[in-house]
Amino acid sequence: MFLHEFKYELIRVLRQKEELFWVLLFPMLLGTMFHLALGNLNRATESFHTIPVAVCLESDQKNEAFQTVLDTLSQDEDTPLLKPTYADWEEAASLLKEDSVRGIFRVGEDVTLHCAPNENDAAATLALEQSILETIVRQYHTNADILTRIAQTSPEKLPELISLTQSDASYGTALSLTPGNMDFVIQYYFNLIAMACLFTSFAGSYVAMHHQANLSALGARKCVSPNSKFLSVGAQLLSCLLSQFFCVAVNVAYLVYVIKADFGTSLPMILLTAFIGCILGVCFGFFIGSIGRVSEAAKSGIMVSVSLLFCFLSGLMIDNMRMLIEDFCPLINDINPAVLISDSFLTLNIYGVSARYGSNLFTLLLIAILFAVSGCLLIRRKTYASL
Amino acid sequence: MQVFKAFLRSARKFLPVNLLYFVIFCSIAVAATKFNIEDETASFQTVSLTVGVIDEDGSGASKALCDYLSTLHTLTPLTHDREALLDGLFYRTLDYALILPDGFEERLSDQEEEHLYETVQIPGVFSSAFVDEQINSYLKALRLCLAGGLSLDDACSMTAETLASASNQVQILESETDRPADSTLTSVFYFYQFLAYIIISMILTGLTPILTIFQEENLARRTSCSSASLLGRNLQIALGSALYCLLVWILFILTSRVLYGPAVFSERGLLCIANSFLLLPVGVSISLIIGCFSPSGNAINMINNIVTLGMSFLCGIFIPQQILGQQVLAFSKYLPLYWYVKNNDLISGFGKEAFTLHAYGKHIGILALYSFAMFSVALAISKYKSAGKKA
Amino acid sequence: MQTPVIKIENLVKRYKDLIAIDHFNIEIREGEIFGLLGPNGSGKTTTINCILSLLSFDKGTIEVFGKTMRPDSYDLKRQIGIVMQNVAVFNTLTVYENIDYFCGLYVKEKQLRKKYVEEALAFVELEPFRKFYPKKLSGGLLRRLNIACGIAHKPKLIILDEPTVAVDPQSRNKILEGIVDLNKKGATIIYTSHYMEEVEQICTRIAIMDGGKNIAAGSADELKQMIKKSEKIKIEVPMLSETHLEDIRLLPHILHVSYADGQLNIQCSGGRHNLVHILEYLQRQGLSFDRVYSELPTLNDVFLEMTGKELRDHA
Repeated sequence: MFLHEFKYELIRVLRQKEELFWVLLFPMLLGTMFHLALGNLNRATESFHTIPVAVCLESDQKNEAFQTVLDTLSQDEDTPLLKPTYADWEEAASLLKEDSVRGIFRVGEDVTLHCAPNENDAAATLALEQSILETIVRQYHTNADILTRIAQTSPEKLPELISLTQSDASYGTALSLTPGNMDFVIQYYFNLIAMACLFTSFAGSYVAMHHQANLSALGARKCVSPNSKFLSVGAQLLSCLLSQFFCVAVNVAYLVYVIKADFGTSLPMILLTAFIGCILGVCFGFFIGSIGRVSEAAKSGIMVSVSLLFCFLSGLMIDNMRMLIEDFCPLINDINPAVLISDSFLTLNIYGVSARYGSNLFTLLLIAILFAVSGCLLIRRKTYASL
Repeated sequence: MQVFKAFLRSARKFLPVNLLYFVIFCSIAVAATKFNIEDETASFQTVSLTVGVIDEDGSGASKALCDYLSTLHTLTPLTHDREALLDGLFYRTLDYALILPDGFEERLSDQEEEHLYETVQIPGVFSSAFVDEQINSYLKALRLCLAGGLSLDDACSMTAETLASASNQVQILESETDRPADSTLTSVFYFYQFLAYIIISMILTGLTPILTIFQEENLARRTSCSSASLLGRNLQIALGSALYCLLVWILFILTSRVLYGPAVFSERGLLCIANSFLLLPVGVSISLIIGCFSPSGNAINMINNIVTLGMSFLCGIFIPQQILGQQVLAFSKYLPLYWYVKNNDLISGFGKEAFTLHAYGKHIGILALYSFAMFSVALAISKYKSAGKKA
Repeated sequence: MQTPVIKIENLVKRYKDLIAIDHFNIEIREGEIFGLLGPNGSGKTTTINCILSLLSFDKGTIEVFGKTMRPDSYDLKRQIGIVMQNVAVFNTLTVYENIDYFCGLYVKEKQLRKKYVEEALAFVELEPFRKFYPKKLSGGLLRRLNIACGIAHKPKLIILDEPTVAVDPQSRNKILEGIVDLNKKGATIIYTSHYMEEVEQICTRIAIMDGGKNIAAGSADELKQMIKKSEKIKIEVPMLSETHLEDIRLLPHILHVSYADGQLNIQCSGGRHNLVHILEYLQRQGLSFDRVYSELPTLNDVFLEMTGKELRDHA
């Protein structure tokens, strides 16, 4: 009986080509659009790059100390911090105006920095670049200041100090705590998969509606057959889960192999997470589907809007939404399925298989079971007051 | 007005769902704008970041460094919690994580030059280079003081003093169009930017199912057999759609009024409102085109999502247009929402362009043309389809 | 005495203020084709749904094969085949797959099931359409598929709820013949309809329902004998005076006489040879007459007399 139901549910799902087509296509299309929109995002705003800067030498006398600083900073092996262009003042000003340099060092006896205003946040990169330039000038001034002061008290130490200023010491050590992908653009893909998982709820809702006499003629027909409802629900949910998971897996494969999104973990782990996500999605749909006499349109409306809300809170549209919620009501994040799914990916990416990953999956399964059991209670074999 | 009445009756059936959409989208819009407002920046400001610090040393020297950093950045003290740190870094709530290991002061006094501190950075991220640069310059200055024979305490205070006196080295060269923005207005701009996603979603989710009903083969045949003219029928459907959209639109404008007060009806607020009105024909025409293919219930949802989310990403509703790549923008120019966002940027001053009424009008015109073109496409498709059926 | 297949006693079902079934009683014996006849809204489908324990009811008892029916009475359900009023088939499964699916809910053994499905296909003559999807079937064929899905597992009791609604006359006849055939093979059948001709044609026993009540039960002939009316006679007589009419009224077993536009209408009440008596009278009076019609009473007349309304709304 189980196999019989399983087989026919599978046939039924696979025959609904239009639906299947969109279930398959929709994350792919969105993934492609993300890729288009976000592909350059990280590079443009965040990544380390060389700052073009104009240097305007004021007088004939060379400011050797600052020149050393400039040389050090522009001679790094791969990506130097600065790319100086030597120019006179007019030239430099026009370079700044056309945005081909981020600032002008006016180097005489004194060193000053000239920048364009950076008033709005869209120009965050510009502000950051300017701030770095400012730090360089500030360091120069500070060092000069200290040298002057020390020269007053203990002039004998001056030569040692001057050589110190020219040393290129790096005081810090950069630790790498994770081999994962820290590029935050990846979280959009995490959320996309979470969304695809939640959208498997549509398939789940059909199973419920096909088992209730007061929701469909087929449901009524089903109710008079001599079989345990749970067996049949179980079989259909399983087959619906497998078919939906297949679609999500194809989408994952598309993101990993075609879009080349770096999930920072192995494919089997991604698939496992997506599978748990699908279980949740299907059970969620099953629960919504089994709610009494709400029209099919209303049910799919509920599923779409609730799924979208979950994904929004998880950061599908505004990337740091999730962390904002973490600050102000962490409980939401603890039970929001979209967060749990995308956080599982994140955890895998950064920490590998860890306790937090386990607890995420556990919570997901728990919520799924809750949905499934409530759904079963709602559709359990009963007589109806009206059909 | 039979068709119109039928339209309203069908719409009434979808009312609860639409109300649900309204509530959810409203909360999304509110959340999006409430959280998205950043501090107003003056004409020039050095960037202030969020730096997570784990101070394992707890010495005077380590505190002095933290104090200095706190004048530049927002410092978040952390326990040695790797996860909080990495999570913070991943979601960019922390820009930089600094670990001052046990023995920091000692090594400093010994004038050692390496491994004084540890950082956890997002690899290759620019802002970390900035903080690196600042910490290094602090330590270098401190090192100079120590080498100059000062005690650690004196060295610390001298470093702090000189660094402070050297602050703000930037001279602003030119000042362009800087509008004195007030922060409620900024929220209004964000609201109207996000509204594009919301309104298009509402129109698509609310209207497409109803329009699909009218496009349904048997029903369409039946109405086309009736004595009512095709034009009249379409006009009535259009009237119904217009009514629905207007209602949605007005509801959202009232919502924005409730949320942000009279600033909404200021001159620039009104420009935003006028701009958002153009979303209605755009939404309806997209909905009509989708409806032409009379997709099944679920497919409608998927298609709606692809269209709204995809367009919102590509046109700069979720991510500012200035940040999107040139190639993306070159493509999204062919999408109507691009021009909506461009106009919103124009009014708010988010973009680089200065506001002119001419540019504003031009964008409005483009939006109107897009709607007109899409209406024509929808009409052409439905003509083509009905002609195909007769053949 | 044999246990009745279905025994309903004092069944009451309310929808809020509306009483859908009002102290309804029937007993259906094995081997019968039992017709539930009644206009739309008389409670036929509600009764069926109560029998199947799809609907809860307020009062009364229902026994199927001598046992109380419950939602999980799988052993009872296994012996019942149901053809619902609304077509309940999967649009995404072919004709063959649909029948196999529903048959599979009852019959586990594969070989046997295959045989049953083939037989059901043959029975409703859908073999040429086995690979068709339901959407491609005409209304009549779809109904036949609906029937095949209900009866493929060879149940002992078959319930058909208006299986012929919206079916063309040819398909309808096929369906009716099939039902008789099933009955001959040993199935007890419950058949609901508001077409009295159908019920009269195939049912061995009939219950007439109205307003949730069982108004009368018995075979068609028994039902007709319950009423006063018997045949209706129409004679075309060009010339007839009022005195002739009075004379005719005085003939035995004449219930009602009217004359209009050269046509004489006479309603008889039982008795035999009524037509002969009337014709004799006309001949005696030397009145010429043209065509003569005689109609036997229908179930509609039974219904009309018992409830005062027509069985079928002719609108």
